[in-house]
Amino acid sequence: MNERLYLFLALLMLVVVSLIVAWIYYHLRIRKLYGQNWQTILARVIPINTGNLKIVALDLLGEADRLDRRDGPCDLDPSEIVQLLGDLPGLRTIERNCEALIDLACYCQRSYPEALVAAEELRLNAREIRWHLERLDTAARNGGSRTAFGEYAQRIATIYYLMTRRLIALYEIANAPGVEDLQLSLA
Amino acid sequence: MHLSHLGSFFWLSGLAGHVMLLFVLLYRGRTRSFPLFTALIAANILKTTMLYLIYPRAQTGYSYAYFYTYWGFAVLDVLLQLAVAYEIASHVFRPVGVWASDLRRHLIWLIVFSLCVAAALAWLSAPRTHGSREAIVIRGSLFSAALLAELFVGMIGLSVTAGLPWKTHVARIAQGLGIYSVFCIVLEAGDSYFGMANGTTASMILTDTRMTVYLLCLSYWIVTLYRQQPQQERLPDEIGSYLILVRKQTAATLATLRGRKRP
Repeated sequence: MNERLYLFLALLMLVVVSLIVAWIYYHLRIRKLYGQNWQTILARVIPINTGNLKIVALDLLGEADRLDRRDGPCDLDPSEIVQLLGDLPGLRTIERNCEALIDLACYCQRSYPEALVAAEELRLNAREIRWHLERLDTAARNGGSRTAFGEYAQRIATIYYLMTRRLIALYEIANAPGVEDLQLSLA
Repeated sequence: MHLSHLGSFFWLSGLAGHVMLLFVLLYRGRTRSFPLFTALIAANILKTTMLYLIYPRAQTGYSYAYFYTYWGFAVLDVLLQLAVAYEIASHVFRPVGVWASDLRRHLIWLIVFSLCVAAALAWLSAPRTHGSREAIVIRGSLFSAALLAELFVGMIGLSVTAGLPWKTHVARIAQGLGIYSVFCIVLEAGDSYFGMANGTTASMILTDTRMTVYLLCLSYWIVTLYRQQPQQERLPDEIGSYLILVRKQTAATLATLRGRKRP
């Protein structure tokens, strides 16, 4: 009977402390996120070689920025793609930038309710990149092939490239404040 | 059964608080956004009124009527609180009218995990009661308090991780219910340990603490739901059309991209 009571008290303590700690942690994160303006979020974007990014993305997309040829040119070798994107550290930079883009989408949803759909898709794209990166991490740990690595890396780069293009275009048309900063950070 | 001065104060202030909150919800037009939360508050007003009418009869030997009315409304209260949790989730995780596709699996896991932990807590508790009826009531209360607290904290965590924003009033309702549920876990555990016989010091302290915390949450809702949300900016009309175009282009391009293989 005593053992059961101790187990109950231990589980109770664990649940209550975990809930309080999680509550405080997420509350602080919300406060931090909501306290940021859009320039501070953008300042977190790490510059990457956008020229190389464009080469990799257009290799899959085609010149017109869309998938106009079903089989596509895809002239780049997986090893070239990996080299152009800076291997896993380069993709990690894209991942960190995606976190900033998710926050930017969150900021956009709060400030412009009518931009909800576009912001939600931006958020989903950023989440998709993180999902691809998690798979790449697993593949790298398990000694996966370079071909598969290059294929996923190219998809990540292409989705990121499309996101940045659309975000810049959106802010240009909206004439939103900080459009020049956005262009400098992402273009 | 005798109601103390403090008990009468809690009873009256609870009723007054719920009436004020219902008035705020109706006056500010929040009932359209939060119909289930409004139903929860209305049910609480009905519960207090009915118990007030039944209470004198309970003192003359009809205590079973009071007992069943009280616990009947307690079950309704838990069901409505779960419904409010669903209402909040649908506000946060369905930003464009459908459940966010990247979070469906996580939400299901959150529900399953919360159910398991709450069930484990309820099963491990060994209420100090003489009757099985009271033991079921204590275990059920502990289960519902743990479930609701885990769901609210879990939803906040998921939304922050996924980058989904909270509208001001949704956040305030969730904060109030979440904090109250966390307190309730400790209070229900106290009921389990000390037993819930009326009139004991432990039972009175637990009941008074619960009512004090609930009244604080009620006051918080009255003030925050009366206030308007921060003013949001409006996009020019041409941007609206552009957003629809961008959405279609992005969806088409990414759909093709996802299904494409390198030659």
